[in-house]
Amino acid sequence: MKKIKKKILVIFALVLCLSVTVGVSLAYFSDYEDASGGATLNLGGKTELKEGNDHEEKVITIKNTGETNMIVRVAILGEGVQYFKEGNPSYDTDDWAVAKDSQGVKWYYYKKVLKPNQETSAINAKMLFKWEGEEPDHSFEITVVHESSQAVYNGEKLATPDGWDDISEVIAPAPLPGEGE
Amino acid sequence: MKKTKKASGRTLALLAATLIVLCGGIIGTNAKLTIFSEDYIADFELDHLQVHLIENGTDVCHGENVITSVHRYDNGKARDAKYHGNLLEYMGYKNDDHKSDLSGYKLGTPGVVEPGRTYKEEISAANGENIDQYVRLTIRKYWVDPEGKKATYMDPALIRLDYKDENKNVKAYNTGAWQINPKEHTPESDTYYLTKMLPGAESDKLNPSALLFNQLTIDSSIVDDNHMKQEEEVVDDGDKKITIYTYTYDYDNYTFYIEANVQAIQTHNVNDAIDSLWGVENVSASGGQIHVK
Repeated sequence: MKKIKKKILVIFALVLCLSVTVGVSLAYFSDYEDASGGATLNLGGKTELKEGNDHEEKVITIKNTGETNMIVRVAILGEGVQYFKEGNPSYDTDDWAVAKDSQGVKWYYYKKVLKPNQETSAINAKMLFKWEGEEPDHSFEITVVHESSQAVYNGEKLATPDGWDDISEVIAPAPLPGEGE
Repeated sequence: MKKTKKASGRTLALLAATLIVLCGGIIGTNAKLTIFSEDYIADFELDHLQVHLIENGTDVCHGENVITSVHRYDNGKARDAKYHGNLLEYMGYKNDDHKSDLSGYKLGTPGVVEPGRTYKEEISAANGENIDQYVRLTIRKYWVDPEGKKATYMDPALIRLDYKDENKNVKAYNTGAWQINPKEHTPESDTYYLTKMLPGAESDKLNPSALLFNQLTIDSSIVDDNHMKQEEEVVDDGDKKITIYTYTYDYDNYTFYIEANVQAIQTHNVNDAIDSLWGVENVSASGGQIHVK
């Protein structure tokens, strides 16, 4: 009798163990993967406007001396701009585009994004030294106004900085990394 | 002796009952019995799920640039150390051979991510096994300041992941294939459910889901005039007049981070699995689809 009871006990113990095992194996199947990443923004910019010291002749260039891509524009103002020598200011039309803003100021836009250490081609502005009729009775001085901004985008096109007229069709975006020049 | 014989009969009955319980249990586990007739070897192969995170067509967690971490499997049990993927490794690259152009342009290189610019960032899941699964994907975004501290004052919404459809309409995500669960929303994270069950893949292949996002943009408002200072300095260098313009921005050298976590669960007893594993009350599944109420 004792032997029988023992056998029954062993069997129940086995059933108990097996049902626990089956219970665990009935757990729900699942899986996951995760990933993370980040990138540091480099914001800011530095440009140098070089124009020489000659009041009657300017050779204007802009260099990007910062670490970010920049867009730049210049305006040539001052007394006597109507006396520019014929054909002046002269510039490479592949590099520069001219557009008047809503205030009537003529701006010269560099048509490419200026990368770090890049310098624009020059805009040459020479005054006329001989004129017909009476010599104007005021002095001449060319003033160069320069504005620049870090290249900021609106999707795939360049965004227009505050205070500028729309440049989205004037300045070409820089190629994306991996796209090459 | 007679008594002993009767008792053996009961024992046999109990043994039979045990076997029935066992068989029922094994069927319940969805186990697969494969028999090799020649050697008479019986092999039990437990089906399991395998889900992958895909970024720009690359299996993020199994690429070359990975670090090891514990990969969970089967209801929270840790399995062999697997991979934690480096997200954004291939962001912005349009050519198929991603790695050829990495040098010099790797993310994290200053200046590569330009404000307001849209970069290709295709994120999806993929089924890596031959059984169906339901999938959800959680995205977390945040900023860290140059000292390495989390910048909770910066809005994670400035890190914009979104979806441009075939008509060039930009949506917050691919609403045609995924559903957001508003009840799981936090300022940093959102969870998206793949509406349709993701079918099992053919052997040695991944079966990718529809894209959740396909582009990434850092909102250009971080460089508006309210966050910028300009200084001007004139240097008279002999016959050269040089004017130096310097622009500084409040959020220079801040780092943005994105974390993605993709999860899959079985399709049978799916509502119990959703309750048990995902713990969301307003999500259910039926007819091969997930419903977010």
